[in-house]
Formats: sequence, structure tokens, C-alpha cells
Amino acid sequence: MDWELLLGIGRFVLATTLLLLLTVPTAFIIIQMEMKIIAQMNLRFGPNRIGPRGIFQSTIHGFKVLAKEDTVPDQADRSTFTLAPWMVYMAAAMSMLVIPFAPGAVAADFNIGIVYFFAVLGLSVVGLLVAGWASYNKYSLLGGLRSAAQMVSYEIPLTLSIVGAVVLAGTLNFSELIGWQLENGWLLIWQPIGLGIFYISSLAEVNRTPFDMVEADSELVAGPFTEYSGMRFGFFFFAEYVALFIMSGILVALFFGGWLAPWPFPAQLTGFAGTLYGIFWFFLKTYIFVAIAVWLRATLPRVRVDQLMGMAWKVLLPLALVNLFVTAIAVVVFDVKGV
Amino acid sequence: MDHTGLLYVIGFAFAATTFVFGTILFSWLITHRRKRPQKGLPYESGVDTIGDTWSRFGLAFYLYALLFVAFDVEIIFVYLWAITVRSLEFQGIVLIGIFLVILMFGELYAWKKGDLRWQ
Repeated sequence: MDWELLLGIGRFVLATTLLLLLTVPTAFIIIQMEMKIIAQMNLRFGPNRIGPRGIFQSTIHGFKVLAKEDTVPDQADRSTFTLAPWMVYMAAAMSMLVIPFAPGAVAADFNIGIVYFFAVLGLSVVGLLVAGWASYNKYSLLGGLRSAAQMVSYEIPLTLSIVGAVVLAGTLNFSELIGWQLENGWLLIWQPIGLGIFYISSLAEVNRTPFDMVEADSELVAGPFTEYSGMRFGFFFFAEYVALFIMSGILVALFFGGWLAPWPFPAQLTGFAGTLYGIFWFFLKTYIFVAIAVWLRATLPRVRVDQLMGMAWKVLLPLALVNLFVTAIAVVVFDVKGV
Repeated sequence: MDHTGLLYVIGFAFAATTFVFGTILFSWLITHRRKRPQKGLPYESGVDTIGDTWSRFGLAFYLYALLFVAFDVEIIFVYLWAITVRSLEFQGIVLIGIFLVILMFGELYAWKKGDLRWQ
């Protein structure tokens, strides 16, 4: 038997299992954060019954969803109704393949990682649109169309805001990008405008307040999820929180040095210890950004839908293009070194 | 050619699909189901549905999709240029500038026509 092949298969099985299993606690932790942090900000107690200080509340919620009856509206398009949560979940889960957790802890370190990430995450639009259409419900349909318009519009500034970073580092690979940041400082100082555009667009892309036009509870009930129940609804929820985690992770990887510590990386930490050290910093930074997103939800009201669309096309897109040109000219004039 | 990355994508897609439908199947096995005629009705705030849901809807959505297609194809091109900026130098910047200016004309046209205004 070929040992190298066996080792490769073992690595694949391990990576796939870990990533898929990671989506479950990630969603639970973020839901718990959302309940607890917002409760504290509203001067409420929040969940405090299940487990010490209520930390198992979201887990119990998850199992409750698993045991709930799964109804399908009579007039719904049954096959697409089932496929929609799968599509949304797949878009989120597939993009986890390229997340750089730590040196050596990237499931598939593509040389076009950034392009792959945006290509796959963009597919969740299809799922939401299908969900809205298949439900045979006017709220769902409106929510689905709104989400399509919103996510499609914000995908343009989102992808263009990265180009400045790509020009600077000269690579589309996440690991190499972080390697560049190790030598030249985090991209946060090089690309503040890119960071701003990316942050706003990423909130809109994962449908977080103040851009949660898709669900807009007070206007559209629950948007495309209105007719869903049971585990099919559960997967939409999973996907939403996993997408928030992924977006924060990518934000950290692109602008905040990924697995790098705020001070120089200790050179003696190599191999497994270095990986653990990297994982610690990556998760710490990522959850800080998740917490900021939760904080925004407790603070900001929803943006009006017409202002929302206007901002993507009239403000963020021209700004991203200007940022891109200034960066490119600066790179050529000052001869900034790439990877 | 190294196809490991591609195999990862395909394999992971299979695993994730199994996870999703396995969980839904498991949930289907352990839940109780009781059919009531009211459960199949669409939920529209308790009011009976008027007319067909799958009918015509606003043109605004379609225009955004059209603009998106133009820009999204362009972004792939910009990415290719972005990693070769250093070797193409100013010539590359000028060429991509011309390309983007032409594209921005399209957006300005849509802007002037009022298509970027939500109706």
C-alpha cells in the first residue's frame, strides 16, 4: 500500500470531519453570544437557567429544532423547498476550506484562495432566492428578492476592496498573504479604506444589522425563512452564523494578520506548538469581530432599503476603485515588495 | 498537475451534503407528524392569501442583477491584473484604467437613468 496516498486520505478525512464538526459549536457559541451580550446591553439577565449562567441555552435550542415537526406548505415547490437550505449551508461550509486557522492548519491552501472564497460564498444568494421562491409566500418572495438584490450589490465593493490588498501582497493565497503581513505589518495600516469598505460590505453580505434587510422582522416576518420549520430552518440558521464566523475570520486573515500575534511571532514555536499558538490568536481575533457584530446589532437601527442599495453603488464602489488605483500607483512608484 | 485541491472541494461537497441530508433525515425519523389542513397554508400575518404568489414582481431587482453580472465578470479580470501589477508597471495601470472607465460609463448611465434608485 502506498503510504503517501493513505496519509493524504487520512488528512482529508480529518480536515473534513473537523471543519464540518466545527460549524455546529460555532453556531451555538455565536447564538449564545448574541442572546447573552444583547441581554446585558439591554440590562436584562438573558438566558440563565440551563447550565452555569445559562451557557447551554443555545445548545438546547439546537436540539429542540432537531426534534421539531418539519412542515411544508401545500402549494410550495417541494423539491426546491428542500434544496434551498442545503444550498445556503453548502455555500458557508465550502468556504471554510480556505480559512487560514494557523500555519499548516488550512484544509486546502489554494493559490487562488481569495477568488475561491468569494466565488463559493456568493452562491448563498442562489439558496436564499430559491427559498423565497419555493415557499409560495409573498413575504418569502419579497425577502428572497431583496436579499438577492442586496447581496449581489454588496458583493461588488466586497470583492473590489480586497484588490488593494492583493496588489500590495501580489498573491491570492491566504497563507502567503499572512506571510506578507508578518514582514510588512498588518494590512490594516496599509489599507484603511479597503478595510472600511470590506467591513461594511461584509456585514451586508452576511445580512447582519444594520443591513438585515433580508429578515427585517418587522416588515417581512422572517424573509425567505418564513415558511421553514424544523431542521430545514435549522440549517438556514447554522449557515447564517457560520457565515458570520467565516466573514470575521477572513477579515482577520486579510487585514488583521490572521494567526499572527500583535507582537513578533516567537521563532522557537515551530511545528505543532506554532500551530496551536496560531489557532489561539486566530480564534481570539475572530471572536472579537463576532462580538463587535453582535454589539452593532444591539446598537444600530436598520438602514432603509433604498439608502442601502444606493450606498453600495454610489459610494462604496467608486471609493473601492479609487483605493485600488491609488494602491496600484503607489506600489509601482515606491516599488513595494510583494511575496 | 496537482489535483489535490480539486479533490478536496469535491470530497468536502459530498461530506457536507451527507451531513445536511443525514441530519434532516434523522430529524424526520425522531419527530412526530400530525397533518392539519391549516398547517399547509402560507403564513401571511393571519390574512388569507390574495391572488397568485408566483406572479409578476418589480423590475428593480432585475436591473441590479444585470449590473452585477457586468461588474462581477470584470472583477475576475481585475484580480488577474492585480497579481501582475509589478511586472506590467504603468502600462498595466493605464490599460486597466481604460477598461474600468468604459465600465464605469455603464454604471453612470444606469445612475443617470435612475436605475440605482430603489422603487
